[in-house]
Amino acid sequence: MFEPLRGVTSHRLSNGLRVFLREDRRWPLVSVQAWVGVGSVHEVESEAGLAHVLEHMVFKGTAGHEAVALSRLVEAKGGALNAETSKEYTHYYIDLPSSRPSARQQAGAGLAIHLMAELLCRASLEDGEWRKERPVILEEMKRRHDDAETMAWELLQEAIYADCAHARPVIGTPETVSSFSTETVRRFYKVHYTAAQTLVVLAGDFTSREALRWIEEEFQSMPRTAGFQARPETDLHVEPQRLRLQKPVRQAYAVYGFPTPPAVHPDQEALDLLAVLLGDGRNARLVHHVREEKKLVWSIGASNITQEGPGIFAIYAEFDAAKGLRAAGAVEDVLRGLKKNPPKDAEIRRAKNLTQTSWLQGYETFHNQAATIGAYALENHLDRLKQYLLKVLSLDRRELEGVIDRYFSAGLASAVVEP
Amino acid sequence: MDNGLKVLYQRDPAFPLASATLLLGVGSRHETPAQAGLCSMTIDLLMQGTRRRTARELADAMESVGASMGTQVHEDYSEMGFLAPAADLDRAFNVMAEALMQPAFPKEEIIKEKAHVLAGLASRRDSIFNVAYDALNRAMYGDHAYGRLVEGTLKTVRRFRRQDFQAWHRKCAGPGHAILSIIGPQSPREAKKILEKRLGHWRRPFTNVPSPNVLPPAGGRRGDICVRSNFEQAYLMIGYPAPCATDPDHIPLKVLNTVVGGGMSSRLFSVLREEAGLAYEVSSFYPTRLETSQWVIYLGLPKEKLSIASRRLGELLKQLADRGPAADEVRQAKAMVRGAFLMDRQSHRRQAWYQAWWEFLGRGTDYDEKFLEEVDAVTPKQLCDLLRRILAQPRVTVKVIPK
Repeated sequence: MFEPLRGVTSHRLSNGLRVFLREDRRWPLVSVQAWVGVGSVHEVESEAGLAHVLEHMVFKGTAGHEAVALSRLVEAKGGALNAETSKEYTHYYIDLPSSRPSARQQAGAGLAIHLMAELLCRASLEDGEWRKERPVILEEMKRRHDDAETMAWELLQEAIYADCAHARPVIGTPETVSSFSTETVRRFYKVHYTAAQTLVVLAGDFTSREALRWIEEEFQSMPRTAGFQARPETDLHVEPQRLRLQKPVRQAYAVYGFPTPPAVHPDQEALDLLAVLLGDGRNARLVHHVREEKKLVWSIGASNITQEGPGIFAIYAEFDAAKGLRAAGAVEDVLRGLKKNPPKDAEIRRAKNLTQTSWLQGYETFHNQAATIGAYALENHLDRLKQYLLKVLSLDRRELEGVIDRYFSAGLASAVVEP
Repeated sequence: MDNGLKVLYQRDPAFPLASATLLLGVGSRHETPAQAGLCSMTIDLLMQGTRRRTARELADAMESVGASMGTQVHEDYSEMGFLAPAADLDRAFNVMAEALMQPAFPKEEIIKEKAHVLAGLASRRDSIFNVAYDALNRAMYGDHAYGRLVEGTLKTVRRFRRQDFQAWHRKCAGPGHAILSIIGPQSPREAKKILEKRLGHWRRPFTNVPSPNVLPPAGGRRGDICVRSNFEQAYLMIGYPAPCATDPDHIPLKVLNTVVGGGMSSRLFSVLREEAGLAYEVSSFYPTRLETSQWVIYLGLPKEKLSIASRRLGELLKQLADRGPAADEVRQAKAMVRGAFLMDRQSHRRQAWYQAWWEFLGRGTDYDEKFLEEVDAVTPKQLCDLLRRILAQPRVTVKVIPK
C-alpha cells in the first residue's frame, strides 16, 4: 500500500522552526525545500507584489555569498534551485545530487541547507541589486499579460473574491512594484521571514541526525517571530461575477469556478475525486459531453485548488471564441446535472483508479515527495496526507451526492479572455 | 520478437505500476510537404476507434482501471506509451495492439480530430515563444520537415481524407522499425508471454524503415526576420545550424549549451538578466535530431532594449569564442548535464523512455553509463573550437516587435 509518510520524522527547533525529514536512498539525490508562510494576501494594497519581489531579491546576495555564487554553488554540483510565490506562501527549493559521503559543505544536503538558511535568514537586500531587479520583474509582468491562460486564471480570482487581497495578482502592479524602496523590502523580510512561519522539508539521500544538526546550526539565528500580521479574512462575492477581458487572441481561454472551503475541511477528498471524474481523461464527464459530443471546446479540464483560506473548484477550457456562450452553458449543464444524474459506480471507480495511479506516479521523485509533504504540513494537516488515498478510495455514492448537493448547485463565476 | 519488434524489458519488483514506450521510427520527416501533419494525425487517430471498439470504449478499457495511454509525433519518430497498474499489463497491451493493428479511422472522429488540430494551430499564435520559434524554423529549414510544425499546416490538414490515414498507417505502423521498452514488476517470462499473445502477430508486408523525404539539408540559410505582433513583450531569438545526434560534436554541444544558457549562473542568465537587467526570460536549447539540428538562444524583453540586448548577446558569444569557457564553467556544465539526467530518471516512465530512445539512436541499452562518461570527457578546448565553428555559420535572427 502507498505510504506517503513512511519514514517521515518531524521536529521543531527551539526558535519554532518546523522540520520534516524523509530519508530515501533509492537515488543519490536530495531535495531541500522551505516554505515561508507569507504571500500576497499578507500585503496591504500599496504593497501589492512585495512578497514576490522579496522572493526575487533574496537570490541577489546574502551575508556569505554574492548573487551569482548562490546559484553557482548549487549548479556546480549539478543541481537546480528556484522559488515561487503564491497567495499564501513562498516556496523555495534546491534539488541536487547528494554527493555522500564527504565533508559537510561538499555533501548535497549540507550545502543546500546552508544556502537555504542564507536565503531565508541572511539575505543582503541591497539598493543596487533592487535597482537592477526592478525592470526584470516589470518584464515578468508583461510576460504574464501576454499569456492568455494565466490572465484567465487571474481574472477568475477577481470574479470569486470580493476583497482586494485575494482578488489581486500575486505579482502586483507596475505602479506598486515601481514604488517599493529597498527599505520597504527589508522591513517585509524582517516581519515575515521568521522561524514560526517557516518550515523545512528534506526528501532523499541524507542522514537525518546529521541533517537535523545542520539545520539547527544554520537556522538558529532566525528570529522566532516579529509581530506577524494575521491573514485578512477572505471575502467572497455574494453573486458570482462573470468577467471578460478582451485581448488580440485567436482562441478563447476560459476558467469557470466556485469557492470551496479551506483545505482542512473534510469535503476536500470528495472534491478532488469529483475533479477527476469531471475533467481527467477522454471519458470524464466534461470531456465527453462538452468536447467529444457537443464539440464546443478543444481542450477542457477540472481542478480542485485548496488553500488555507477558501479554495476554488475550477474548470478551464479553450475554444473558438464564437462558441463562448454555448461552451459556458454546456459546462454549467454538466455541473448542475450531477445532482439529477449522480455519478455512477463505474464513473466513481474510474476516477478512484486514476487518482491512485497518478499518486503513485507523482510520488516517484524526491522533489514531489518533499513538495507534497510541505504543502500538507503548511496547512497543518499532515495526518490528512497519510490517510489521503485511503479516504479517496473509500468514498461512496452517498458521500459524493452530499458534496454535490452542498457545492454544485451554486452559481458559477467565470473569467474569459477572448478576442 | 519473430516479427522484428525489438523489445527491452526492465524488471522492478517494488513498483506497483507498469510503464511502456513504443517508438516508431517514422515522423514528420517522412512526409512530403503536401502530407504535412499526416503522420501526427494518423497516430492520434489510432486511439479514436478500432474495428472492434469505439474511441469511448478504448478509453474506457484503460481509464476504468486507472491506466492512461498517449501518443506523440516528432520530426524523427513517433511514440505511443502507457502507464498502468501492474496487474493490467495484459489489458494495456491488448488496447495498444488493437490500436496499432486494427484502427478504423471513423469519419466522425476524423472530423473532430481535424477541428482540434486546426484550433491548436490557431492557438500557437497566442504564444510569443511559438510565434518566434515557428518563424525561426521556417527561415532555417524552408520546405524541409524541420521547417514546419509536426501538426502540419491549415492547408494540408483540411485536405486529408480517410484513405490518406489508412495509407499512411499501412506504410508506417510496422514492427520492423519499432522499439518497445517496458518497466514493470513482472518476471521477464511473464512479460514475454503477454507480449507474444498481444503483439506476436503484428505484421506488415513491408517492414523496411521508409526513407525520409530528404530535402536539401538545412543550414546555409541566413536571415533577419521581423514579426509585428500584438504582444506587450518583444522577443529576440537566434538560431544556428547544429550537429545531428550521430555527430561527434553532439555531446560537446549539449555541454556548451549548458555553459551558455543552462541555469541561473549560465553566461546568458548572469550577463543579460543579472548584470544588465535586460530580460526576465533568457535561455537556450539544442534539440536532438537525426538531421542537421539547431542551437537556439532566446530572450523576452522590452521593445526599447532589443538593440542593446542584441549587441550584448553578440559580444557575449564572441568573447566566449575568443577566450573559450573557463575550466570551472565546463566542469559545472558537465555536472549539470549529469544532475539533470539523474533527476529525470527518477520516474519509471522516463526510464522506459530513455531505454527506447538510446536503442533508437543505436547506442545500446547500457548507454546510460556511457553517456555520462562521454559527457565527462568533454574539454574546454573542444568547446571553444566548437563554438567558433558554430558561430562561423550563417545565422537566423527573429525579432517579435509589438505594434
